[in-house]
Amino acid sequence: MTGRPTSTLRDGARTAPRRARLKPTNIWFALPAMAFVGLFFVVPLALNLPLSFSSWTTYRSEIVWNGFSNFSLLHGQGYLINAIWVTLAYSVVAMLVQNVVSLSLAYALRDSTLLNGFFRSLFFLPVLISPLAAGYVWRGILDPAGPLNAFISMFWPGFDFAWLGNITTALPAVAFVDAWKWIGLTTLVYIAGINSVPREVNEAAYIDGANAWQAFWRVTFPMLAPAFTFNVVVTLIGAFSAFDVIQAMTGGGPGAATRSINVLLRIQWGLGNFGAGSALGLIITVMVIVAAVPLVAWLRRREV
Amino acid sequence: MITKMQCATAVAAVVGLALGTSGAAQAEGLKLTVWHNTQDTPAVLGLYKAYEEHSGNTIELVDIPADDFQATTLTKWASGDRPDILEYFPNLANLDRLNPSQNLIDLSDEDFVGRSAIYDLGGRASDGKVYAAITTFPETWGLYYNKQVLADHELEPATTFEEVMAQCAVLSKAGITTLHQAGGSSWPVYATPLVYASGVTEPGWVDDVIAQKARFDDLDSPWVLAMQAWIDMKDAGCYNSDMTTATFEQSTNAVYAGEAAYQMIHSNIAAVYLDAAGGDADALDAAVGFVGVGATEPKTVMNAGPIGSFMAPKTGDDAQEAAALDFIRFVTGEGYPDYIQASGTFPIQDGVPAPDASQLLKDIKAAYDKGPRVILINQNVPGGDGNGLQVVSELSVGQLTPVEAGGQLQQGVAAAAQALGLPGW
Amino acid sequence: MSMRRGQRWAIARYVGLTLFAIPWVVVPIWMVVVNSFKMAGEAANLTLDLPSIWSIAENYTAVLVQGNYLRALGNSLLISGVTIFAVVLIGAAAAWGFGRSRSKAMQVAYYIIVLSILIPPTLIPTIYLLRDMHIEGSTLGYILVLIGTRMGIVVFLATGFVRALPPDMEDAAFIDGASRLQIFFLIMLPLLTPVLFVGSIILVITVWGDFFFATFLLPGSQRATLPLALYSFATSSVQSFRWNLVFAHVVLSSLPLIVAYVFLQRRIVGGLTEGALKG
Repeated sequence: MTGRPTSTLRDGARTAPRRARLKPTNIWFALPAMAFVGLFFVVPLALNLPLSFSSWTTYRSEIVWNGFSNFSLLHGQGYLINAIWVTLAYSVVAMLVQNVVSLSLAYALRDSTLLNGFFRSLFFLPVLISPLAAGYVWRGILDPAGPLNAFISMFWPGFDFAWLGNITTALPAVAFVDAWKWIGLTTLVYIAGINSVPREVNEAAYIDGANAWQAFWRVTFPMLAPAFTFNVVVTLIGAFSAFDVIQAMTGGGPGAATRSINVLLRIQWGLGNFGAGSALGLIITVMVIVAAVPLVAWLRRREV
Repeated sequence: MITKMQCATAVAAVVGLALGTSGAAQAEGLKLTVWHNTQDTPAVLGLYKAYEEHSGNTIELVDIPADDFQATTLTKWASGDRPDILEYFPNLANLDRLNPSQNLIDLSDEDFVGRSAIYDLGGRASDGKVYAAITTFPETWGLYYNKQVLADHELEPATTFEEVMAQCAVLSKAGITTLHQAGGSSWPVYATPLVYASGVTEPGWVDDVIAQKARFDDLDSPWVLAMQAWIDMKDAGCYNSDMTTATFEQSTNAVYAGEAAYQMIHSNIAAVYLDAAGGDADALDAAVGFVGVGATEPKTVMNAGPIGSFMAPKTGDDAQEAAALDFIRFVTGEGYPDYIQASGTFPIQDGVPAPDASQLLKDIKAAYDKGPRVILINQNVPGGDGNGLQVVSELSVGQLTPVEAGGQLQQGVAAAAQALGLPGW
Repeated sequence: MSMRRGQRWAIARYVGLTLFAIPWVVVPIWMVVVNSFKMAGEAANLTLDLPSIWSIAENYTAVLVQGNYLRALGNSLLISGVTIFAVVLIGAAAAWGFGRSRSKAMQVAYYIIVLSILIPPTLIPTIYLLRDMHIEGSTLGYILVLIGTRMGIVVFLATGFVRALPPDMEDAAFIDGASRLQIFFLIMLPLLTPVLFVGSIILVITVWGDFFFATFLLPGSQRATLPLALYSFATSSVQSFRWNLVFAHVVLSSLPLIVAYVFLQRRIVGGLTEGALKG
């Protein structure tokens, strides 16, 4: 986290004599935020634990402890492992596509020229479209009658394939759209990261005889580590909550091919199985913690 | 005894309301809260108005969005919130979710129960008591067919899936989709095995499941047979090539245009057919007909929908509960004939005249009358309406075999049975 | 590196970028817009051709009337506006508190708030909580949840900014007799403006597009936001799925942010690039 004050302010501050300091009673200013986060984030997070192990359904008015019944119910119906697998695969595909494309775009657009500004703005457009709307847009493009098949038919006459109706292609397709929607934002983060690498360092590498590729991997990329950490973690974890794009494009189908944890949660909620829904929420929380902690640690170690 | 006392209270309350001009509060009548589906037809909305005029009470409608109707109702219900009148699915699986013996007024001894055959098939929870008053013609499942396509191949409308399978041999040779499937809308794919299973379910099978003498994944269970039949038709090439992505509107268009012979779906889709025909009822009647369908012998499978199906929750307020009963008696009694004329749908009570209707709607009514009527099987098993949609969707793309799919359905029932506290589960 | 090589690389780069941008952004936008101008039957073919019969007025009127667009737009504006105003104000105040405090307890509170960026909020317990507070299914409940769950990013960005600011200006103002509220509103808030702007952009994008929580917390068309209106329009069981109308709804629901973006794009892209999003 490196917010920088303006240099004039810093100079002015240095010359000002230190006469007095505010007493540390600023806690009052932090209280409203603590209250909001405490009540609407921490309390539900804590409540999720008992609710996951209790029989909250509409069949009965009382909520009672039922051990692992919710999990075994979901598992017995063959839903649990599939949903976790779908969610993980979705996240990895979305994370890879998003970071590879946006890192390439950032490298191509790193200089702040007018033309680059135009392209940066252009690639930012999908960020402004809601994920749900993005899902409908790509459902159109990937439709058997849509532009993608029409394009392929120019080289392969009569090509007809239901990208979202096939259990193998549907999952990467929806994950791709998730990546597509957010790439504009990660690109800007990478541009910021690349530009934080002093130009002289790169030039020194060239003088030492490195080509552009070597200069990127040996000089720029290690310096990019903070931006890389941020983007990989945020895209991966963000995709654990996959819902909107899937709901618009496939509704979880075909079969169970794109039924992510949150899509399954909505199904369980709709059946009045609130305990099972809570259990699914708990699984996402655990997945985030399990994935985020080592990932952050590992990526941090690689930073310069 | 209790019911009679309740009746007496209700009569007293109503008489009191009608005559009570002394107290200002009474003159204004009571306010009844109704949780209603936003897809209520104008006729149902008119029914609320008619009751207001009839009783002097006012009705406050709380909109429950049709898209998430079940989930929204259940969430509100689970929060302990109770309306005076609940418009909801009047079938066993859904009634059980409301814990009816504690939460709903028992309507078993009401007059309207005797006036309609529908309570043999719906409106009851698993304790056998009637908790829901049904006013609207049930969703009747069957085959919409293209008359010209069948005539061209000298075929009669199929009344069983066995006949559909036999006709498929002729039709698919001619390049016509026999039974159009709509995986893109997901629930229509579920409907075919569901109707098939309902048709082959032996009486008492549901009781055997509850008693744990039979299972959904038994090799001869109606579900395994139904799902196998669905797969057989798929393997025989009876379905459209875009069956995983097509929507039910595309099925409708395909049947209307003669690209497909049949669509298996329910009676309310008649309106979508009218849409496909550009609103021209005569053109539609010339092109498309409807027939009930069974598995191996002709049957008509049906289920009562939520629109115009009313329950009276126990609110703990005697006057409110009495007025709710009064509402239910009005909509099934005095207000019923006008409602039927306004709705343009067929009556389900004896002795009420039917309105004018198109030939397609008359076909539907004929299928309902002809029977033998059976209810959708998932409506009659606790938890039976739970995961069927997902299971059949997985079956349709080859992720599950029929027996595996049956096993998953069994799990859904087990979960509901445990939540209900049924003995032995 | 000779100039020649540099120029050739630049030309190749822009040719590559253009070739990439066409399928990536231009075709999707064109497909959506042009098909939203067609009749239902023609739009079902999803071609990129111009309409043979133009149906702009009919389609967009249908979205405005049946698509619940105007009410949803109002709801979205209200919800986003209130949420962002509250989060920015409360978050900035908290950032000042955290940035200037050395206490262990405050550190812990700060880390919990930052954790709320990483860990997704849990849905069903939230419904349970709102139910207990008797604000389940209300716009107020939804806004409160949004404020509580989106606070983290603003607190995180602004606290880093405050920590990098020397405290002397505040100290000087304090000695001159300014109250804490005056210092916050007159000194801190103006200083924090750039970072709060960045935070607001991220908030607008996520709050405006939120569908998952909205779909559970906001039942009924009365309270629907734009994504909810789009979803119920596209999946409504009364209306068939018609590409022309769905795309017209997509255009209209995306328009407000895109219009705002056109006016503010230099500041937005600049703010996000130069701004405090690093690390």
